[in-house]
This record gives sequence, structure tokens and C-alpha cells, in this order.
Amino acid sequence: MLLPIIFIVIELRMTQMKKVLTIVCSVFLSFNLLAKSNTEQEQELAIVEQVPAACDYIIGQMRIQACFPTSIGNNLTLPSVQRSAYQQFYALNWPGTDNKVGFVDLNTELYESNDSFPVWQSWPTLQDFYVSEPSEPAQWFNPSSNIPKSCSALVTKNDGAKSALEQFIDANGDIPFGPKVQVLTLEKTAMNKVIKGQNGHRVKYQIYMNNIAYKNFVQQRAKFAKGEGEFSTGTYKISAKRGAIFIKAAWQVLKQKNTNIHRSIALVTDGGLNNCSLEVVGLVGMHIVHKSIPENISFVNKTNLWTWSTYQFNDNAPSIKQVNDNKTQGDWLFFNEGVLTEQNYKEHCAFNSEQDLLLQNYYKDKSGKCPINNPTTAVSNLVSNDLNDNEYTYVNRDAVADYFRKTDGEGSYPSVWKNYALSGVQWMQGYDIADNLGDKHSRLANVVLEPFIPESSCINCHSSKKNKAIRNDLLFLVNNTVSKQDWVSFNMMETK
Amino acid sequence: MEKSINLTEAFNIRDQYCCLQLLTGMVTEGNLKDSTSSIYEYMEEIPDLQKILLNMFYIPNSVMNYSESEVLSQLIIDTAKSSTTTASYLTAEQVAGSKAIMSDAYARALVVASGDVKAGEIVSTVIGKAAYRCVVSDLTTECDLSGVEFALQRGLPDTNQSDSVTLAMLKIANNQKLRGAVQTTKDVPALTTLLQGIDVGAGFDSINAETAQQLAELFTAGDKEKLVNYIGQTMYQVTW
Repeated sequence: MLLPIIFIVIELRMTQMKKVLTIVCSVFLSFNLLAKSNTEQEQELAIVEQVPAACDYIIGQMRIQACFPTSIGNNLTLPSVQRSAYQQFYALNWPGTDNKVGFVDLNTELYESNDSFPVWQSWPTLQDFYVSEPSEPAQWFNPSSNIPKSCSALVTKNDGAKSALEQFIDANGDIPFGPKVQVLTLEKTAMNKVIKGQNGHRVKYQIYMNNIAYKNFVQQRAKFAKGEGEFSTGTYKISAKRGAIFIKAAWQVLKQKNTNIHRSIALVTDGGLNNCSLEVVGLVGMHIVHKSIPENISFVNKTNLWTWSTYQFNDNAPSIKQVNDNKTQGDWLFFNEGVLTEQNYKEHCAFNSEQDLLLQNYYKDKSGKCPINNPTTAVSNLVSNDLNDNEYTYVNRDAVADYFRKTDGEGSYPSVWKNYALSGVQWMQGYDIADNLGDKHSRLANVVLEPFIPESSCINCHSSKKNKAIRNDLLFLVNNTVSKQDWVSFNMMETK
Repeated sequence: MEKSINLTEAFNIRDQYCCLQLLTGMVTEGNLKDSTSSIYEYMEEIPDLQKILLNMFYIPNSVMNYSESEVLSQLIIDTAKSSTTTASYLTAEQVAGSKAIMSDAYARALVVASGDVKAGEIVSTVIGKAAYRCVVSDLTTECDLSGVEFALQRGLPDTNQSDSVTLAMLKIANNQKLRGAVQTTKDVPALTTLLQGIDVGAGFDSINAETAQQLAELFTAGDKEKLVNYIGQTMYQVTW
């Protein structure tokens, strides 16, 4: 079953002789898998599509499984896109295998451990691509990645002794670790602002890509340089191919023992690639931009076949609803309820009505004294504009947690992933932008990725004619390496 | 003069009422929509899923008590008349005590459409026609919608409003007075107000002014194709 058989049918039409010669060739490809266990073989084949596309359980919405279909299916509707958003969240956060890039561990469950190294963290980053470009880029599966030169000392063994990185890993044995160390250098939001957590550290960003996106990049290098590149989209009923996936992750340096968030070990520099340090970072938000709308179904808009989903850590900041309900107590990473003073309400912040409370601030608070969602403050006090934070929808802060409840009613699994929420989804449906709320002029903002853009909308921004920045297939994928010469190759596996 | 319908056609209309009942269930029962929606893309390769969709989800959730629909009940009574007398074979009590259930043939067609690569076009047209027949058309005469074809619509209502429109269709279809008012009110502002006032059910927003006006304009204009496509695509986008 695991030996793919490819029948190549070649029709040679010889018109003058009015003959048709059909040659049927059978090619048996073994992929050198015969010596491996069934599980290994399955994984190796599955990696062609990142994570298995076939699921054991089909009926139902958001069951936690290590699989997600290659596309949203044959119905471009809210139920399909929303289901897909949860499926990809669970599957892509599935634990990866320790030593291989892009392999999910099919022998474990997402909810079994408190924390785990998600498979997408092993993917090459946009920086990896640009550092190696235009010479022959590393293979997607290659565990080598690139780190800033300023980090070299931290990964170098000194006279046979363990490197600082190895010592740091040993000292933080409870933090999941995979085939690559995270490299975090970017700190500007889409609006060229920085977010500073309550602990004073800046939020850092990184962009990861699946092998389809990577392959598209490599194969269309010249086109991408001119903004003419196009990524593959997931298919339906046409040999089931997965489309390109980009994950933009937001990380925050953690200075306290915070174990309810997904943590990782990272090499962190400032925006200029200087002052490298080893840090424990927490995943505070992520976008999954997935070209998952098949071209051959109804209602597609072929100019935009992406689904735009964004997820955030629940303890980042309160939502508008939580503020309005006076539920702002908590150990927020990006909010201190002390800012909710009467003076701020009355004098500085533009609270015209409950629902306009936050949208007013950045653009309408000309005084600059309102400390909420203000990019100029020493530390950020953010309030999340969760689009659909109500209990009647699948997009609320408890929706993911609900699926981590034990079926015997004995509480929840300990997994950190239950502390995340889908903030919303966007896609093009015919002529219109659609989202989980259905507002055709929709807003969708992640509190740690677009906190200062009250009217933030993934699709509006990425398709706006006003922005002259080069984009490929709607995506801004600029060279963000600062200087290619400031990077060196590093293979974590050699350290292990 | 339009041809009067017979009992066979009345039961065809029954199927369309049951279709609106199924759609109502998909909006009000999240688990139903989750289950049905997750099945569609696999039905071709796993034929058993078609049987499951048909027998576990579509037909059972299409069931409606006749007592909930004075319009459908009266239609069945009126068309079940003896050919020799003016009396009906059925009493109001008999009908009220029975249930309307989607026919196997209609349900199977819906299953097949749902699994089609062009499900969006086919299903939205089918359910749009169901809404048109049950809400807008004269039920006592034949209504030929075979010429109505799919046409992609712009500016559909948002998600919450699409839920509300879906729920409102069955509410209108079942209520003789409301249905009559929707059909006879030709003044757009008046019809807008009427549509806004429909109680679509607890936990759901009423139809707002913008959506109500769009619907009122469509109803008063009477463009079959536009109505079928607009309402069909509105309902489809939140149910399939």
C-alpha cells in the first residue's frame, strides 16, 4: 500500500500514419522505505503534505487530531473555513519529532503533555530563505538554519565544554526543544511600531513557511523578485495537494516562571541583529495564512485563495468585552488594569461608547495621553479587539479550551494549547470579504500583531492599492535579513 | 391562468418546507451544522457518508410538526380533496397530529448536490428555490422555477444577518398572516419595517434595516432569479 505506483500513460499521436501508440509504463517507487518501520514510512510519506491530510475522525467540527485536509473542501462557507482554522491549529501545533524537520509525532497526542515543540517551529523561516538566496537554498528538510553572527559565541563550544546554548537548554529542561533553536530578530509590527510587554521586553516576530511555499519560492525566484510570484493552492478532487502555508508568530521574552503558555528557547537580538542573548520566550500570537481554497469550487475569487486565521494567547490582554464586563483582573502580559482610572476614562481616552472604546484611541486620541493601545508608552497596555468574543460562537476565548476537557468530566488536560483562542478568520467569498462575524468591511486584528490599527483587516491591507510595497500573491515577503553577511549557518542537531 | 396544484405537488412543496426546517436546524443547532458540513468533502470517496448524511442528519432534522405550519397544513388539506366532492380526505386535527418529513428523493438529491465540486452553485440554488416557493409564490398554483439559474450575488448580508434571514424564511412560510403581508406589501419602507419586526428566535438578531431593505426591494421587484440567488446564497453561506 505504501509503495506508490505511478502509471505514466504516454500517447504518441502520429497523425500522418493515423496511428495512436499508447505506451503504459509502470514505475514502482520505493523511496528507500523498505527497511523502515511502518510508522516511519507513514511519516515520511505524510511529510510530503506536511501533516497527514486524511483524518481518522471526519464527522464533527474541531476534534483534536494530527491531520488537516489539503483544502477547505468543496463548500466555501463559514462552517468550512472555521472548521479548517481549528483543524490546522491543532495539526500544526502537533508535537514534532525531536530530530527531524517537519515530522509530526504520530505516536503522541497534542493534549498529553503540558507543552510540546510544534512541528511548524522546525520549518525554515523567511530569513533562512533570504540568507541562502540566490545560491542554491538549503533543502526544506535540512536541519541547518541561520543565526545572526552576534549569536555565534552562544552556540560555540569552548574547549570541549558545553556551549552557552547547551547549558541553557540543560537549565531549562522543562521547555520543549526540537531540531532548531528559534531565532528572533524582528520587532516591528505591520505599522512599523513596537510592542513592549509589561516586563519591558519587546515582542519579536518570525515567519515560517511550509515546504510548498518554500518550493514555490525556490522555483519562481525571478518572478518573486518582481512581485509576480504565485503560491500553490490546496486542491479538491485533483490529486489532493496541499497549498502554501505561512505562519507569522509573535514571541515574548518571559522573565517569570509562566508555564501556561507555549514556551521555547530562542536566540534573541535587537532589530539590528546585535546584542544576542538566550531567552525563554512564549508564543503570544500567530497568524496562519494558508492557501487552502481550491480553484475549482463555487464562489472562489481567484485573486485571493488564502484563508487568513489568527490566534492569540488568552492572557495577553483583556478583550473589549472583558473590559466592559469589569473582568480585567489577571496577570496579563500586555495589560495592567491600573490604567483603567477614572481620569483616563474621563480625560484622556476616547470612550464615547462601550463598543467604540478602543477603536477610538489610537486615531482619535490626539492628546496621546491615553495609555491604552498607545504605541508610544514605555510599556504596552493593550486591549484586544476580539471580533466575536461571545459565548454563542465558535470564536471565543473558551472555544479551544472546550476541546481539551476530559471526556469523563474530570477537568481538562494540562496542555498549554488550551490557553489559546482563534481570534477570527477572513477569506474572499465571491466578490466580498467574509469573516467569522460576517462583516463585509471586516476588521480582524491580533492584539500582539496589529494592536494599533483599529480598522485592521488582513485582506484589506494585503490587497490595498494604496500600499506600494511589493507583494507576491498578496503577501508582503520582503527580505528581512538586514544584511545577509551578518548571518552564519547553524545546525542544532550537531549540538545535540 | 396558472394551473392548480394537486396532492403530489403539495407534497413536493412539503419537501421544500422541510428543507427550510433543516436549514433552521443548521442555524440553531451548531452540532448539526458541524456534522453535516464536515462530511461533504469526503462523500465521493466514502459512499457510506452519503447514507449517514441522509439518514442521520438530513431526514431526521427536516421533520416538522404540521401543527407548526398553518400554511402547509391548509395546503395539504386543500389538495387532499375528493375528486367527486368538495370535502377533504383529511381533517385539520389529523393533519395537525402528523409530521412533515422530507421525502427520500428530495433528501438524496440534496446529499448528491452537497458533495458536488460545484456544491455552492447547486445547493444555494436548490435552497433558494425552496425559500422562494414557500415564502413568495402562490402555493395553490404551479410555479415553474426550472429556468432559474445560478448567478453570483454581491453584497450579501453578514453572518449574523444571514442566520436571521435563514430563520425568517421558515417563520414567514409558516405564518399565513405574515406570509400574506410579505406578498402583498408593495411599499418598500413598509415591507422593510415588517421584515425587521419578525421575531426570528431567541438568541438571534432581528433582521436589521439594511438587510430588510434589500429583501424588501427584492420581494417587491419580484425578480425570481434575483430572489432565488440572493436568498439562496445568503442561507448557504452560513449553513453548508
